[in-house]
Amino acid sequence: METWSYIPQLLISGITFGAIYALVGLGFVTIARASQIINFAQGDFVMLGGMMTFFLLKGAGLSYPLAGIFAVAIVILIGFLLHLLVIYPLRKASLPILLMATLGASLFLSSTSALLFGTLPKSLPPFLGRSSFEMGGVSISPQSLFVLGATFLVLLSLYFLSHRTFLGKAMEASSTDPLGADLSGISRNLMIFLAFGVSAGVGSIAGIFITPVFYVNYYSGTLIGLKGFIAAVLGGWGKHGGAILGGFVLGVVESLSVAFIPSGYKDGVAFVILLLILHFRPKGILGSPFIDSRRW
Amino acid sequence: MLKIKKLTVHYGPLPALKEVSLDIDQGEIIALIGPNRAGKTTLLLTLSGILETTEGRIYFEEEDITNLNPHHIVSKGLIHVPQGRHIFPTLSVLDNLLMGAYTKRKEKQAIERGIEDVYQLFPKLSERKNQRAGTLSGGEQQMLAIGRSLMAKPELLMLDEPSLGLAPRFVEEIFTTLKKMNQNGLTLFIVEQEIHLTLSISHRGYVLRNGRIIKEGPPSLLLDSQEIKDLLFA
Repeated sequence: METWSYIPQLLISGITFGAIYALVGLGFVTIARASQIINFAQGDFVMLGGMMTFFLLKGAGLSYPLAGIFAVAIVILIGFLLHLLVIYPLRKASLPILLMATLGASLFLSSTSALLFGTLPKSLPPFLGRSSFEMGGVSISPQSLFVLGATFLVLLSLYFLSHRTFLGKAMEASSTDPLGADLSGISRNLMIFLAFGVSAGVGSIAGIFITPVFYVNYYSGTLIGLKGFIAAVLGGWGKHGGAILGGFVLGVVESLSVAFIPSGYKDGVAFVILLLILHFRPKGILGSPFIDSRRW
Repeated sequence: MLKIKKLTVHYGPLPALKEVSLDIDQGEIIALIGPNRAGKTTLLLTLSGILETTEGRIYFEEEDITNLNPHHIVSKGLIHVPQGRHIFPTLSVLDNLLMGAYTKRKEKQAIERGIEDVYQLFPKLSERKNQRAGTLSGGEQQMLAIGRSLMAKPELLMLDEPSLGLAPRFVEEIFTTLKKMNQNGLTLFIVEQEIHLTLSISHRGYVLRNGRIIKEGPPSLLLDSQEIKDLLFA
């Protein structure tokens, strides 16, 4: 009886975390669709988003919204630089080398963050105060609602960007048929460059959302990055919808697990899910354009 | 218009093209024929900048375009319709055409006119303009691939096996359209297995085998030659 009464509460927090995982997963998918690269530095975009906001808020004394906007802009810039300095020079290299390059970039970003910002964990205040309200015996924090609403807006604008604009269509074209894109005169390097910017932006937004709930530390990008990656694989690697679905499923399952197993194992749940999905259904829930032989 | 001088290309360590030289003049239809794996597709992919040359130079309208980026080559008006069509399956027919005009994306009015011209050439595409391109039939996809290439305002259009996998009535339709496009001033370079049909609309042809040009000349000469007869019965 005791256990079951927690479930609605856990569900709420699971959905909130799910939204954040979905955002991180979308960052992975955006880059993978443009270039087939798995960007291991994705989690560091998330970490940097939280870190930059913290310092702009506490250090530079900017207002919360302003600090957030500047942080996102700085991380987008870092995303662009990551492409220009690491990925673009390796454009002729094979995929495994590119993966290693992103892993190296991830180590560089987290270590640099430790040197610049220190190794102590940092936390942001909730956006809308600390009070929460009760609904049907479940306490809901305005923070959760804000995260859900904002995630929805980000998803909507990402959808608009990739399906309604000329550049978005060109990005989709270069991911669905690289040769066709090359021969249509679409510069795929430019598309990958833009994908890194979008992905860094989405990642940093996730970072700003998660920091008030969780601490941000120089190494916290690794775990959140892996969770986002698992979300993207779980839903269907390479699909926007897959990352979103996978994110919410992962968030909810992970959160509900606390009711049944010791909470210390919570982070392990995601990896068990990854192992299960890789073994039984590698293409994910919605199917993956990269793994399924029938593309889209 | 296009001059290829002693072009050598390697696929990994293996030579795929050996000292290929070739000339295409304004207004011509040039056929490139040869057995499978002769290097025909390699030649087109090299001309459009996808593959790198080992030796030799490529000149397009007196300008050296050897090893330029594909999108630079496209913006100069040398357009390649690849084998297997390579349309964008998740985009609509109209969006596919728009992507063809990527290098000319600032010229809104020219794009509108271009789309009208393509619809006039291939009325089927107009009927299906809002459909996902992946749902089109093979023949319609080939029309779309050609239509998309026309959106880039080509000076010289290179087609890699436009008849591949198409029903005979579609093949005829495509070739009739190609001839019409040529009469409107477009220079064409066609790589084909359909030797008779291709040579029937061509001004000149080249025969490629094992990465070398082994014969060139007007269609009548090629059709009578032993090399072509070997090819046809091989």
